[in-house]
Formats: sequence, C-alpha cells, structure tokens
Amino acid sequence: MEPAEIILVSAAGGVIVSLAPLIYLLYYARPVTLTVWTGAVVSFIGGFIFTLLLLNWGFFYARFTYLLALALLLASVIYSYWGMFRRWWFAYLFAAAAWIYIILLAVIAKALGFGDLFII
Amino acid sequence: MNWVAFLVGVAAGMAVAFGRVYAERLVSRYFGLPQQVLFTHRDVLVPFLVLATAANIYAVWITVAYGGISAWRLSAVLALTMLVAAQIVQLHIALRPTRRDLELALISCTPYVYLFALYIAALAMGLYSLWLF
Repeated sequence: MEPAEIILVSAAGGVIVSLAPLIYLLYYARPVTLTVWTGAVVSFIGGFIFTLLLLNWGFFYARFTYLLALALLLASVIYSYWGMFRRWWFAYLFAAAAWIYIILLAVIAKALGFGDLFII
Repeated sequence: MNWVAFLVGVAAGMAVAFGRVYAERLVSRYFGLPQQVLFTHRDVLVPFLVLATAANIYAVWITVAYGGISAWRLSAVLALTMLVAAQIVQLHIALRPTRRDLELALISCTPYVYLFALYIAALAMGLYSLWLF
C-alpha cells in the first residue's frame, strides 16, 4: 500500500474505534462529560496506532515485541473504553502503558541503531 | 474486496451515525422529551446510516477506481449520481431528524435497487459488466 493509503486506513481504524463507544453512549442517552471526550481522543490514538501496526503484519508477525505491542494496544483501548463508560479518568493512565512500552522500544532501537522498533 | 474503501466507508458511516445521535440528543434536550418518544425508528436508522454510507462510499470508490473508461457509460454515471443523491438524503436524515425519516431512508435506497436490477439484467443477458447502456 502507498503511504497515503496507510495513513487513511489507520485514521479509519482510529475513527471506528473511538466512535463506537461514543455512538453507544449517545444512543442510550448516558451523560457525556469531558472525561468521555478525552477517552474518545485516547481511543482514537490507540486505534490509529493499532491499525498502523496491524498493516505491517507481514513484516513482523514472528516478533515477540510486535505481538506484545498489539496485545498492549488492545488492552489500552479496552481501558479507555472502561474510562469512558464509568467516567473514571484514572483508567487512561492504564491505557498509557502501551504507549510507554512502544516509546521505550523506539528509544532502545534508536540507541542501539536498529532499523525498526521490534527488537526481539 | 477493497479493504481501504470498506474501512473508510465504515468510518464515514459511523461519523454520520454519530451526527444522527448527537442531533437527536440536541433536539430531545430542546423539547425536554426522551429520544425514544421523539424518534420512534432510531433503532433502525442508526445502523442503517452506517451501512448505507459504507455502501455508498464503497460503490462509488470501486466504480471510479476499477471501472476505467466504462465508469463514463450512461448507466454508470446514473448510478454514481443516484449514490451521491442518496448520500445527501442520508446526511439530511442524520443532521435534521424528523418524523418522516423512515420514508426518506426508503427513498434513499433507490440506487441499490437500480444496481440490483442492473446485476439481474447482466446475469440474464450473460454479460460480465454491470454497465449495460
């Protein structure tokens, strides 16, 4: 796929992941607070990066760090959904764990001079 | 199956459905009535908007991208025009919720009926193209 197509599909993944709980909450007339909008932003970023990584399945499917990153991003999206449904912003700190893991991988790969994030 | 068109279509459809439930919320707040009382067919219309917008975007995308020069045949141009018109009607359903939403939704299904008729005709005539005229 072309770079523009990759960005487009990742954005579509992020939009799908972040709008699903918002449509649910508005459909059942649940209160929508700042915490809920924050959760929409958090789950958009989670869905975007998840789709972006999933598109590179063919390159990395045998790497443990890649599979762990996918699983952690899935858990991150679930935590942000939890924060949206319970209106409990602390859940977004759990959701940030996956991002911290990916940033750490990037820093390690940069320091050791590797071409990609997924070192093992 | 073009997954790019499919995912973009589903995302756009969910955006339209979100617009619908948000507009319902604003209207029901204005009148101080619950949404189920004001909009009786919302359980049908919200999923319909997702599916229909995804179908419109997918149909337009594959017609223009894979049709080549045959996308300019009269039947194809007619299909594209009907799909754009249906999308406008569906945006109207989403952003201005009224009591006649279900009728409008039925009217906006005409391009799918037209495409299905073309498909049946192409099958009956043994042709490999949907764009018969």
